Amino acid sequence: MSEKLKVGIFGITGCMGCQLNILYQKELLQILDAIDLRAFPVGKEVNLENEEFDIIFLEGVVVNRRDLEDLQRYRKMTKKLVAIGACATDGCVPAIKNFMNNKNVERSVYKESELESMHSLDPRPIDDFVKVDHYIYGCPMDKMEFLQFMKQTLLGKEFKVAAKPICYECNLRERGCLLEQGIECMGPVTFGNCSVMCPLKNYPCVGCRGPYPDANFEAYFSMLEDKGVDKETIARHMNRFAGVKFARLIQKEKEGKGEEEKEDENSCMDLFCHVAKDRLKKGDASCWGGN
Amino acid sequence: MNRLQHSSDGLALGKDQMHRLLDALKEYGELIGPVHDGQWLRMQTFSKYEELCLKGISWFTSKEYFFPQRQVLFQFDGHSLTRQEEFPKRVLFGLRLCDLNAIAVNDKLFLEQEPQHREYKGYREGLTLVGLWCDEVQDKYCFCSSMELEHFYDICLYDRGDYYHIKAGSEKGQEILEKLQLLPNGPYEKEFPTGEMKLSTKDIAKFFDKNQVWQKGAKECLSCGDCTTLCPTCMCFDVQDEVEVDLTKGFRIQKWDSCMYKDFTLVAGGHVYRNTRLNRFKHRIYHKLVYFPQKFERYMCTGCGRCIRGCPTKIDWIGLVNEMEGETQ
Amino acid sequence: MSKDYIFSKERHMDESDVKMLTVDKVTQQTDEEVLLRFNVPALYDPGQFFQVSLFGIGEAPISICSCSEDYFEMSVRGVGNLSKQLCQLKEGDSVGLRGPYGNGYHLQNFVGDSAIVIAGGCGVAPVRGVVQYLKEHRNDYKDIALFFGFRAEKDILFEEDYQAWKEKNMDVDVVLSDKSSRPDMKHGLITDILDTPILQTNEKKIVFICGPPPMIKAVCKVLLDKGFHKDQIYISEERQMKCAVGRCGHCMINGKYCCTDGPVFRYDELCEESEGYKEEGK
Repeated sequence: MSEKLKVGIFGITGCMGCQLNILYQKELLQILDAIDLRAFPVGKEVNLENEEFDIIFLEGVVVNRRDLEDLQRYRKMTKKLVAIGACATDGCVPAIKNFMNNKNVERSVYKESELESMHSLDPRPIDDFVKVDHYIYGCPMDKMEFLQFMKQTLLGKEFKVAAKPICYECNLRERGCLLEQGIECMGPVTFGNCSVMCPLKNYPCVGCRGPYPDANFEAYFSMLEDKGVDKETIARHMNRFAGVKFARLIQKEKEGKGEEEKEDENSCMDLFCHVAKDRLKKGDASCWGGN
Repeated sequence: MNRLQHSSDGLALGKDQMHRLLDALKEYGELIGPVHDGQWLRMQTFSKYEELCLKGISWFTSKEYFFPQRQVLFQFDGHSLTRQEEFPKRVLFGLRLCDLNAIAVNDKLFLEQEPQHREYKGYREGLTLVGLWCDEVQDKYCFCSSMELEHFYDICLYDRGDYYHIKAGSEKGQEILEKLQLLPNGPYEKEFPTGEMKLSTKDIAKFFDKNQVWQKGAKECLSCGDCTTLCPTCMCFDVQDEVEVDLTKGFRIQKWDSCMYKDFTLVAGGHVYRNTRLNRFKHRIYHKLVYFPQKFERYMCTGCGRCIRGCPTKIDWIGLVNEMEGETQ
Repeated sequence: MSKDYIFSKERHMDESDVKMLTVDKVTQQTDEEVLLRFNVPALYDPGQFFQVSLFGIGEAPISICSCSEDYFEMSVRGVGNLSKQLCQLKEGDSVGLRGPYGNGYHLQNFVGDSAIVIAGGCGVAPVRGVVQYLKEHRNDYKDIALFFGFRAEKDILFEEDYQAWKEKNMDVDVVLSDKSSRPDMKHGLITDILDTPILQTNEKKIVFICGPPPMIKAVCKVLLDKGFHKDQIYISEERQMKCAVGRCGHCMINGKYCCTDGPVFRYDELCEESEGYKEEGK
């Protein structure tokens, strides 16, 4: 390769865990040899900004206007924008607020006297505002997947992960099904390729990698309800890491169905459809002032 | 495998003498058998008879031992290609007739058509198959009695209480048993057990257009692929390149894949040929009962029931077929 | 007098049996298409394909577009991960090859018939081998007509061959779908130029079609309306392929393996009952 890829790694609101995960990468030095890392405020002292990048990796969720300005600035600076980690790809824990009453959330943190001037916004994943070229999922971002991305990109390939749910890898690793053991696992509706470290440690999948695009939510919910899981618990599971993306996909699945197949208004499907319809409209959430 | 003419005659081996058989088998490779870990029954390495759990059917299949989920086809380093030359020797102990027949099915696909699959052949030639006859149906999902299974093993054990009636099904099996110098036990035959689950017809080609019924199954399908990864005869695979960070060294890998995923029929340009869940759900069953027999003259399904047992929503496709068959009568 | 073939349709190479070969000639055909030539003896039928690999990138089926025992050529359009990189190859670069695979066009079965070839876009590449075969054996066949469709003038493939084909008394009719700036090429779809005398009757005629699925579907409909039988029509199918020897399962179409039973199918072997043709049921 004649010229090295110009790479930047930035973060907006987030815990920096994903950026740290890049530093923890075993193959980090070899990767650094192959690229021109122009900016990585978390990991290096001298950082170039406001210039052309080939790839920007961005961690974090948009929770305030400054995040949005930064995000838009990064998008303009780079040819490819890669969302790393659940905050950037799906909204992660901060985005649970989308499913709660704003005033109640504010009240739980601030004094009554401060609430007057407060107007908090709904946290959103970055692709609600700008075009994102690639996603590296997980909370924190999966190191293996980051390495796969780097290798494929350096080879000149378009990065792509086959859409398979968590269940695929559980079976490969002979991790018997947790659902079979009566444990509420989000494996069947969650995007795989994470080496299933949670199920291997007897901890059910909590959906941190966002939705498996071909998930069958209706069947999944009715299976859970048959097992005696109540709707609130299901909703809590779905909202934890990628509620925004799950809700939109569920709405899409629901809309794809004919009238005659519509469920009763209290079903889990509807629980999410309402939120998706009323509050999660992409790009024009009322709180973001039509942005 | 040079199979022998089927015969009921066998030898007797006391259960307290099993270590003699296992010692003899160790010469033929690593022992692998059904071991219970408290939650799951799986095929794994063992050394003593006491470690085994010979009740029930293993949750996972043994296909990993001759069709590894990650098979290196060759290694590349920028100059040359290196293929796998050495293959392990293994004894699969305590396989049920369904899993033994599954190996016969896989042999058809990988060895009995040109070109043979080099790596499969390598693993397969290193295998010694020791079967365990089912005295009773192992659980409610077994429907093997519907699937026309054959005697396919090197050695087969029949539980007779405090001893095993043991017989050879191949020249290799005979050779092993000769070493043990056991007493003859005359003829013994045990009828194949039949459970509650039965497939009323295997001629399902006529139901191809009955989509309202198939849809009942597809509606429940999570597209998780558990049925295919647990199935002992599902052998579809993907081929990928894995590279090291230097980008020149790497492996070409053959990995298990599943026709339950949309990406399975995705072509460059973005078109997906089996786009609906219904098409994918049907395709798997038709492959087992219609397409495979057209080509290889035997069913691809051996009735182990893992696709229903392991399915998170327990889709009973046997019930759907029976329902359609019932309608025609 | 058997030659020492490096690749032969009679010798089946398994999944891990890849040969490394250097590209002998690279020709840029259009913005998107490149012609790769390998000067090694090979025995194949037109319509067959090779599994071509670049190590680290992957492997993909590429159809052969020549007809000779001394060399073979492949036309590659850069659409996927692998094909895009194949288009960047230079003479002397090395690639991995195994093949030839698949059921090609068996032209020797139709001696004495008239042959019609209808192809669109990069679908012209696989049938170019057919046309070359027909040219070599021109006297074995009656009338020969070729109908090609492309998007625009810049997308036309193998134009350098047309003159030689015409001199052998083969009709070449080209249509451009975007717009036509050429007096000898009409503007429209491939189905617009099929109203010609040679297609008026189906007597002793054989049709080979290759192109994108919607085109194949439309052309087949026109032909069937004109009275052609399904067993007179041969089409070329495209699927995701991994093993190319009939076991990985990706390319299966209703029980037929596209890699071993196809990619060339007689239309009545697939037709309406097949996935991809049949409207998907609910």
